[in-house]
Amino acid sequence: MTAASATLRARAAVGHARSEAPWLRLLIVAGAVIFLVLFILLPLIVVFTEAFKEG
Amino acid sequence: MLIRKPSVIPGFRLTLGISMGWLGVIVLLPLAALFLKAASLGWDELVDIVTSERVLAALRLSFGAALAAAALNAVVGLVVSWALVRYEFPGRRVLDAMIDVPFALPTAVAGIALSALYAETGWLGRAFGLIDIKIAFTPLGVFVALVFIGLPFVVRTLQPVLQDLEPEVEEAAASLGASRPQTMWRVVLPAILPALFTGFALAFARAVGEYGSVIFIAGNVPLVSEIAPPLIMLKLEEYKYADATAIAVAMLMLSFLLLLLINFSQRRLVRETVS
Repeated sequence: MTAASATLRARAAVGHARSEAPWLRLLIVAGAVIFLVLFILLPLIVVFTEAFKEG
Repeated sequence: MLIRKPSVIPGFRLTLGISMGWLGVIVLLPLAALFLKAASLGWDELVDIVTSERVLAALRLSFGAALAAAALNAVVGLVVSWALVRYEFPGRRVLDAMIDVPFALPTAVAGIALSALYAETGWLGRAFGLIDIKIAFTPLGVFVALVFIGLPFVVRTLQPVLQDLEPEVEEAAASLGASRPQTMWRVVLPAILPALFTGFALAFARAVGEYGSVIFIAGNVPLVSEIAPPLIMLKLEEYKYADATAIAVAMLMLSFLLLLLINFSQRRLVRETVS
């Protein structure tokens, strides 16, 4: 019983070995998205809005 | 030795000759001409030009902002490439494609877009104005522009390395009892460290020589937000060719030294973390 649960726990640990805790995952993705939007998407949008301002 | 016994690399001398000849014509010849022109000044004059207040301030800003931007790009680039390679989230492919925008956008267009964005009337400029931070026409503007153009260098050098990391290595570390931070620090980081350094060096090298995207947002205020390349342009426009090459030689030597230092510390750090 205890041996089986230990194996299960070990397997769960290995299953998560290549991923982070959910909150950290969210933080990483949010950080990446916010940075890219601010630093790359926004200048790109400005290029188009400036270009089409005159019609 | 090559003449006495047949080489294990067929055509070694021919290919080496082509490589060296090409490198000489494309890289070494212009650099030699640069040094030759600067040498026409004489040592005292050269030192005078390079250590003048305005040139020193420009060099300090160029290299300081480039190093700072490359450092930020190394950290953010790691997070971004990790998110793009490891996680699945809506809009991932679009963001992945967007990374190349700073490569593809003509630098002058990028510069105008950035200055429109960060000027006091721009979207972000107004927002930062509320908390009393001026970005356009300050050293901070130079930094922002250099972060913009440097990011793809870090992300695009890291991505393939992260993709090629064997899943088994991390699983083995975990099954041997390593915690996730331990695995990251001792297994993943050493594997990606060389690529991270290369990305940093590339972003730095590009940032030091950057001209188009910086000049609009920086405003080139002497002693405040003027980087070295427009100063070289200025000397050229005044027909002071030797002065221009003097600044160029100073930039060249500094970049060379710094890149050498980066390479050296890369090798040392990699050796330390692996062993």
